[in-house]
Amino acid sequence: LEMEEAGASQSQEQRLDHLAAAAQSFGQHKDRAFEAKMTDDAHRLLTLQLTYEKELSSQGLKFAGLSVNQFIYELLLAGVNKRAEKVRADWKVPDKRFWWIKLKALAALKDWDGLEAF
Amino acid sequence: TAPRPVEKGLETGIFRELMRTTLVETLNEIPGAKTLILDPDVAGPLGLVTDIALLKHQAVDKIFWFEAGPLNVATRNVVWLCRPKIKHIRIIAGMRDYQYTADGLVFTLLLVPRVTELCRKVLEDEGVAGDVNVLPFKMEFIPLEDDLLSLEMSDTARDVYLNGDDTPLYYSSLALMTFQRAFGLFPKIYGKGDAAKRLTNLLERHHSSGDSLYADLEVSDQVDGLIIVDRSVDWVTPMCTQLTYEGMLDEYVGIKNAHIEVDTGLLDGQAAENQAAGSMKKRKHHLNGSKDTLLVDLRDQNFAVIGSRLSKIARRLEGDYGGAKNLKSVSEMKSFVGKLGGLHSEQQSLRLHTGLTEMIMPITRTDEFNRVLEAQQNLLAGYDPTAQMTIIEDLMYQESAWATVLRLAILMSLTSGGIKPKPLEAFKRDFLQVYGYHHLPLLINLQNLGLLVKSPPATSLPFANLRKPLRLVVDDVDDGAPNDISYVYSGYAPLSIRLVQCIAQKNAVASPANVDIAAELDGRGKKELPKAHPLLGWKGFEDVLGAIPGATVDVRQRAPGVSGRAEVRFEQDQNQIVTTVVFFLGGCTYTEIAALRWMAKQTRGRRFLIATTGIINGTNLLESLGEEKPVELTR
Repeated sequence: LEMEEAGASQSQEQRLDHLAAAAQSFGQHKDRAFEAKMTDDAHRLLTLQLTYEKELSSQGLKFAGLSVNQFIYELLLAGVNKRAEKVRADWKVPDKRFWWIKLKALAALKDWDGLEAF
Repeated sequence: TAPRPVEKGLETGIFRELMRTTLVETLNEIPGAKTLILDPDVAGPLGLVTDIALLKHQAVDKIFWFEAGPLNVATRNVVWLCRPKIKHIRIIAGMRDYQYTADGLVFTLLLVPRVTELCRKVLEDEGVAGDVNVLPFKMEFIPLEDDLLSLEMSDTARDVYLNGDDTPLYYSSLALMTFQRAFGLFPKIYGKGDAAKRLTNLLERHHSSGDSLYADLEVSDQVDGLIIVDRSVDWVTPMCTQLTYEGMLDEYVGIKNAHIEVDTGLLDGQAAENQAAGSMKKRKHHLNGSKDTLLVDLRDQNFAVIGSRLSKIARRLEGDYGGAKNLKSVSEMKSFVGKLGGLHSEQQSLRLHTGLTEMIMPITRTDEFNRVLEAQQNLLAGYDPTAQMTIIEDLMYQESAWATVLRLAILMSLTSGGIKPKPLEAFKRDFLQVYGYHHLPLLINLQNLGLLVKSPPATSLPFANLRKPLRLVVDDVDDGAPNDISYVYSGYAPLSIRLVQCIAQKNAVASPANVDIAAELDGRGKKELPKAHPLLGWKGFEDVLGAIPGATVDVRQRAPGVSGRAEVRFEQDQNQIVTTVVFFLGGCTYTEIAALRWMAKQTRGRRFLIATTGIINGTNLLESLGEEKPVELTR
């Protein structure tokens, strides 16, 4: 239920609150460990997205609400590879998936040298 | 009294008439000019039975969409037509802020299909119950085709199986009662699944309630039975990619309320040439078999043969036009000119279907499409599930559409008795990371429904045990000249339809229809098809049924006061055509419809009338089980 409300709330702070509440109520259930972890991840993701938005505010980038994949993709597009690597590590993105994202990003950037080096 | 059945089966047009009459009567009860405000959810189905002209005739001045905010009305009457949903009632209650009643406006609220206590309560709580006149507007079966009735309700599966809300069951039972008033009692009711059982109970209760509407129903002499297909018995089928023409259109273009949205250019050749190339205007086109003879020919065919069908039709049309050169006499010319109109409309529909085929053809050639199909076939056959997981993973990593990926994963869970905990958790984690965390509620719902579960599953997933006895996977099926219903999925026979066959076409379950015999010509050069056997119930398939969870329905209905052996014997009259109604609870797919139509063609003497709560495909089914997409974040 909190998840629904999180989706419906427009402002960032409210959504973060709802996600935290959802993670907590999932945490109280012993069969819901997976869901609790996932909501927690969602919470962390949105927080990190907001942080990066602030840090990269000069470029006017928008990350909030993206999925992990889209987030990494956008970070790669923006050329901030270090941050992309951090997301990759924090969310334990499997190599195979990361390379797909990277491939797409390089192609979109027309970075043929980077593609060559693959 | 109902009209006698003709060769085609029952006259379903009466349902359209019934709805029109109801609409006209309801609107006439409200005197004077009126403004109609429509819920888009109702407008689609309504458009199938009525048109603007009829509404104008009932003094409807203007029609608006349902929206919050002030009204712009020029008439004294305001009529809302909507589903009994709380959010709608809130909007209506919001109208009091604008002080319309002070201006002498009269408000009427028509709720489809009936007024619920909840809605009355909300109106009272909002303090506007006195200002609004609330009436029910009965909307039941809508004939989409001669052999296809639909309640056009959305989200039935979600309500019934997920939320445990049996309102759709109740609506279905009312619609089926209306059906029985028109055509007589169903002599027999068969079904499988708990919801099917609850629906049957409702039907019996209506019948025995002593309600004057249903009191003296005679047992039908045209309809030999009702078969209820409970969606929860067969989730596998909607998860597969539909491979018939109409099914493909629904999957990749989208069909809503029997309408399809296409570029105007496809509908009208001349207009396309005049238009600027950039403007891609969409127009709704009504897919209707009674107007479009080509569609009847094409829609239930496997997509693999559509191309050659189209070119055959094109050549025939060319030949028909070419006939003009060889006209010798005036009377020949006259008859040719008479045919021109028909040729012209055929040509136009040929253009439409060629255009649509051109849209879909490239999709079927993509690597992704073929890999999905391959994984599907392997999963259905139970062949090396672990390898299929790798395919699913690859598709996900390449960011294929989320529904495509999820449908495969569900198929895997259903066909191989769940997924091992570790890979399942990894899949769900990846899935949420790739497509967004807002899908988490959907994954939870799927788990609750037993669609995506870890092995060993808590409830039994019988698919693996049904594969053999029901011959669900068929190797040698010819897409062009099918000898078994499995042609609709190029080798997989929909479980739902196999169950119908268990009742109505027993021998077809065990072995393919023998094409040689069916095609054998009798003395006068006419095809002699085997006579359909009467509905014998589940006999012979008790083991299979036992393996599927959920109650089994096997009920006989009798007219009151008639006891014992007064059963109507259908088989006595060799030439009589009986109709069997197949009701899909929770929606059906176009492929299932195609399979039933194909079945009807294999025997003499039985037609199938398909009734459903709505038409679904795997993707919109999943969408209805998930939550709405999160709104855009603003600061």
